[in-house]
Order: sequence, then structure tokens, then C-alpha cells
Amino acid sequence: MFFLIWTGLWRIPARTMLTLVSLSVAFLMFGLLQGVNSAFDAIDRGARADRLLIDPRFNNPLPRSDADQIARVSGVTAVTWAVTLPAYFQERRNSLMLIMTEPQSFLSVYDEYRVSAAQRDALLHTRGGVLVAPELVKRMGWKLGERIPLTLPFPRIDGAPWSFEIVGFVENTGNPSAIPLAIGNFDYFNEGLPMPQLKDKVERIVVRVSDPRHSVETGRAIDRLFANSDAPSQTQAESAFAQSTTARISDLRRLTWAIVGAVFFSILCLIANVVRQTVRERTSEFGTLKSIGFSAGSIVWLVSGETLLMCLLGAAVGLVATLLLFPVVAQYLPMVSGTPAIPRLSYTVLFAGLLTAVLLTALSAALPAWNAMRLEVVDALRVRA
Amino acid sequence: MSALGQIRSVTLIGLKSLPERLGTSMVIVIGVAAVVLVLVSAMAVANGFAAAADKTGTPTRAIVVNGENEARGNITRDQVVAILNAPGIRKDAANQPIASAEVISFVGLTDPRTGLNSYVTVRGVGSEVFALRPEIKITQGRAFRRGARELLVGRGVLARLGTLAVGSHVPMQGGDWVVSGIFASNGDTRESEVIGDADLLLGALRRTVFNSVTVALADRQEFASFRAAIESDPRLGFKAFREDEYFARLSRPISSLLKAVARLIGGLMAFGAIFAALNTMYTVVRTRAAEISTLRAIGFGAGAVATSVVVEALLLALAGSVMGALLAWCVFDGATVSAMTGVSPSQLTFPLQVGAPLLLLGIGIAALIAVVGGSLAAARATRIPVAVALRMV
Repeated sequence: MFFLIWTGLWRIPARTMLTLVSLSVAFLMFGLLQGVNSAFDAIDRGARADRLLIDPRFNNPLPRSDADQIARVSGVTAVTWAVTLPAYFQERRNSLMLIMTEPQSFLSVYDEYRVSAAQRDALLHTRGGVLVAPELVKRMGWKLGERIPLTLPFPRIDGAPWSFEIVGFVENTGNPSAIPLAIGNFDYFNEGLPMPQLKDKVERIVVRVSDPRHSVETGRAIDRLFANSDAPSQTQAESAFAQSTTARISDLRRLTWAIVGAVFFSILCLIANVVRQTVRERTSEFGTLKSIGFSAGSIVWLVSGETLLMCLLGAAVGLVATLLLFPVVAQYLPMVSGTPAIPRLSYTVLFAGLLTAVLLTALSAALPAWNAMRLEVVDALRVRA
Repeated sequence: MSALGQIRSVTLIGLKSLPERLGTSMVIVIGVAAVVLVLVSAMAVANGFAAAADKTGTPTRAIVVNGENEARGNITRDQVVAILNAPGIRKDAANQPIASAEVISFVGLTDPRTGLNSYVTVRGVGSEVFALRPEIKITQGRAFRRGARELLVGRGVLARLGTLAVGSHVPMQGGDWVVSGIFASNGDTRESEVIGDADLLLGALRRTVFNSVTVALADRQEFASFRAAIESDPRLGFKAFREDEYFARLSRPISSLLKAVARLIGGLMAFGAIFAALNTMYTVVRTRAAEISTLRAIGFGAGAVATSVVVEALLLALAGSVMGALLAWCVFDGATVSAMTGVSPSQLTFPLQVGAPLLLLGIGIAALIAVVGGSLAAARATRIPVAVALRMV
């Protein structure tokens, strides 16, 4: 049977090759665009309802001491704070996110960041230390214990360049995206800060709450504390924040979906036509097969098997090309996604691609296969093809 | 019969049998329509952004920031005075420098469509702002008054958040501000911002430093001397840019990214479509093999037959491209898109542009697909010896 399908597929090699190229290109587009879409979806996924983000309501950075008051709000179980800075190593394209925080509390609030106890203690005892993501180590060729210069948006107060000692590695297990991040001590940053009005100020305070169902009330209680201060706060659950981030790029997502739709529709027309044409040209062949005892069912299998094989081959080539090309595309996504994460290709995209190939087969082969099945031997043999 | 006459008659014969091959022909039409639709819409996004970005800033103004951009601005009142004393600044009738020391804040507003938080940039501007930026035109209501908690809302913000109509209240630090009017700014990125009185905003935010200072240059050649004066004291860390260069520098990465994406997507689709067109025309040639070889047997030249195949492909592709272009134009022209762009910390809203050059590009690509796909198939049609082809009947 498979032999019959295989030889049937290559009956007109030029046509099959051309169809395969079109299919592969379509699946490459499908893979890349769906990869982008699933990366946008992933923004929501790492976000949690039991974590509240406390941001400046009007762009005035929050005093670090706010964290002590927030810790006393009922329902709050852990508090940390951070200043997140864009930084780069030697060249602008070697960019990373530098999170300056109090590491002990940060790692307890963000427990999806994994770091060994020994390396965490090393960071606590090394003022100028950093934990870095494995991606960065690989890309920059850093070693444990190495002292690295980083370029921040501003120099140190003494005019010296910022430098950090790598004391360990930190891995984010909660999110499939690779964020090139480094975690360092806020105190080290704070003492070198050249701008007096930013001293002891943080960009964001993050808390864990015991019960996410009460997070709205807890958020209100926190915001009430600072409503009349110099820097009012705005508290929202991390999950709500992620939703508004994805809403901000919803226009782009709609566009990528529309393109996927257009690609799918045009490729469906192409395949349907190829199958129809093939079946029509082979009418007498199917008649012969039937007359030597092939059942109607096996004719259906022959037609749809051939179509499926072609779609799967095209999908395989296109999706392998996606695997190779997606990392190149992904690098540019942070510029439009509003988050610094560089997404990896989600394997569900590959699965969805194969499923699409099956769907294409079903839609394009159903009618021709039905016709081939219903063929009367006498009629079929009368046709000269 | 002349060569042209031959081509004409063969093509007509082919076109007359077109309805019998409607399904096959539709593959080219729909395939090309999809390519043109996708290419035009992706380019419309890229061009819309580039147009908004290009319109922002002029070489006759200069902006002073400390650091790379306005985000972490830190310019004290005394420093503003010093900047305004620099040479090269245009003066008004009262001999005051035409300039605006600006302060940036955000306000979180609820998007009525999604119910989610959406940030808008609120820019505090100096009293000379309308002299400094004559492109700002008030389309509804009136300008904010000095010393009043009033805001002028950009047209792009209004398109995104309809709740910011004239007279509505905006919750800011220390109390509500009222929207006094809506402004247009020549379609530039400023239309995605809200502006108000800088001094009042500084007070409300309890801040003492500005984020940036923008000045009008007396003459565009004066920039060099202005910059030399501003950057003479490196301890202050000030940088002066021509306004257009400043915004171009911020928007260039996004702009080139969007263009690259549009070209990649359009190019890939066109590449796939060439093979689809080729495939279709092969099928056409195959089903018409008997007819074509008969024509050749009775004396029509191979060239005429080949040309007729290409012309048929071309006509189908043009039909498809017109369909795709019309669809793109109906759906996308003038539609606004909101996106994160890195130019401003909040969302930027810009109109898509589907202009004649873009539509022509789509039609050109379609013609390319047809000519490449059609001529390869045509070459094949004429390569089959007449005797062999006739036997295939």
C-alpha cells in the first residue's frame, strides 16, 4: 500500500516537487508567525496572580523605605524591590537586563529563579557580585569569578566604569523565554548612583500575597499608604499587568493571525487543485485498480494517503527551516513585544504545524477521494486519460 | 500571419477555454491575491510607522537631554536657564528664547475596549510651546491655560482611548486634570501624547527637575555653535541633538525592523507563489497539450504559443493582484494601529498607509510571479515535440 502511495506521489515528479516547495514555504511562514504568536501568549503564562507589582503611579520612583511599610500590610507574605537597567557588555548588541535588588528577598518572591544556596550566599557577601543567566555565559564566554565591565545608562558617581564579579548562575524555570538577565546587589548600585534624586529610590516593589483572591483589596490598601506622598503607587497583580502588556500588542497579533489565515487559504486552494487534477488524470488507473479487486475504501486511502504524505513532507521541510530560522527572528522580538524576553520556539508550534498538515489533507482530499471511491469501473475505464 | 497576430489568436483561443479550467486558474488568482494582501498590509504597517516617525522633529529645532534620551532626565531649573543662554536660539518679539523645558509623566487609564490598564505619556511643556511647535493645531476645544490643571490630548490618544474627550477628567497626582482640547500635530508621534503646563505638572509631581529642553534654532546652521556651548561642560553630561536626528535615532531600529519583517514575509510568500503559479501553468499546459500541439502542427510558432501561456498567467495574476490590493486598501487604509515601539515609553498610535506606490508594488510583484512561473511552463510547452504531444491525446 505504502509503495503504491509513494509511487503515486511521484507520478509527475515536477508537479510534486513544485507543490512541495510551495508547501514548505507556507509552513515556514506558518511556523515563524505562530512562533511569534505563541511567544506573545507566553507573556501571560509566567505571570502569577499571587504576586503584586507596585509601580510608581506617575513616574516618580518609589522610596525603598516604602517596602517596610508594605511588609506590614495584612496578606503580604514577602516583599522585595528592584531597579531594572538596560546594560550591555562591550558592544551594544550584547545587551542584557540588570536587576539591582536585595537578592535574598528577590529570590524568595521570584521562586522560579533557581540558584544554588552557595552561589546565593556568595552574592549576599559580594557587594559587586552578580548572578548571570546561562544564556549570557554561553554568548559572552564568561567564567565564574570573572570581573566584567558593563555599560549602564549612566557612569558611576566617581566617573569609573561599572564592573561586576560573576559569583554564580541563575536560571528561570517558570518561563520558556530566555531573558538575558543578571541579578546584582541594590546597595552596590545605590552607592555608585550619580543622580542624587534617585538615591534610595526603586522602580518597582514586588510582594507575594497569601491569598490571590484578596489581591485587589490588598493592592488598594497598599496604594492608600502612599496616596498623599511624593510618589503615589499603583498596585496590580502580575497576571493583570501581563494582560495589559499583551493587550498593548493586540493589533500586531491580529495582523500575524490574518497573515497565517491568508497563507493557509491560498495553500489550501493549491493543494485542493493538485489533488483534484491528479484524481481526474488517474480515473482509468483507479478503474483498473477497482476491477482487479481493490475496495472503494482502499482507493480513498490511496488518494488521501498520497495527499497526507505530500502535506507532511512539506510541513516537515518548512518546520525544520522554522527551527533553524526562528532564533534569528526571535532576537528582534523584544523591540515590539514590550518585554525583554527573547522567546524560544515553543514545540506546540511544531505540533500545530503537523496538525495543520492533516487538516489541509482532510479539506483538500475529501471531495476528490469521495469521487474516486464512487467511481463505477465501467465509466472509469471508458475514460482515456 | 504576423507574429503578433499569431500571439493574439493563440491567446484568445486559450482564454476562451479558461472557464473550463476555472478551478486551476483560481489557484493563481487566489495565491497572488494572498501575496499582495499580505505584502501590502505588512508594508502599510512599516510605512505608517516610518511616516509618523519621519514627521517627528525638524532640523530647525534642537533637544537637550542628559544621558541617551529623555527617560532619566535630570535638568534643574538653573541648568535650564544656562541652556537658554546658549548661542543660536531664536528669540521672539519680546526677545525671549523660543524654547520649552519639558517634564514627562505617565498616567494609567483604563482602555474602554479591553478594561485593562493603558499608559499614556503626559508631557509638561513650557509657555512658548505653540511658538516652538507651530505644527500643533487644536482641532477641538481650546488650549490649556497657564496655571490651570488642563490638558490637551493628542489625536492618536483619542483614537485609542475614546474616554479622553473634551471636558473629561484625568486622575493625576494630587487631583484631577480636565481635558480642554484635542490637538493634531501633522501626524507625528506627538499625537500619541497628552500635554499640559510644565510648571504645574512639576509641582503636582513634587519634582524639581525637567526631562529635556527643546529650543528653536535661529537658523539651522546655528546648531553647531549651540551644541558646542551645551556640551562644553562634560560634568553636566548634557547632549544636544537636532530634533529630527534625535527621533530618527530612536525610531530607526523599529522602523528598519518593521520594514525587514514586511520584506521577509512578502518575499517568502512571493517565492512560494512563484512555484504555485509555475505548478498551475504546468497543469494548464498539460491539460491543453493536445490543443497546443494541434496549433503547432497547423503552423503556429513555438514563440506565439509560449507567449500566450505567459500572457494567460499574467492576466490571472493581475486579476489576483487587483483583488488583493483592493482588499488591503479597503481593510487597512487609514486604519490606526497601536503598538509598543520603544520611541515613547507608552503606546504609539499611527495610521496605516496604503498608497498608490504600495499598490503598484503589489501589482509589480504579481507580474513578476506570473512572468517567472508562466515562462518556465511555456518553455516546457514548446519543448515537447509535436508528434509526442499529439500522441498523448
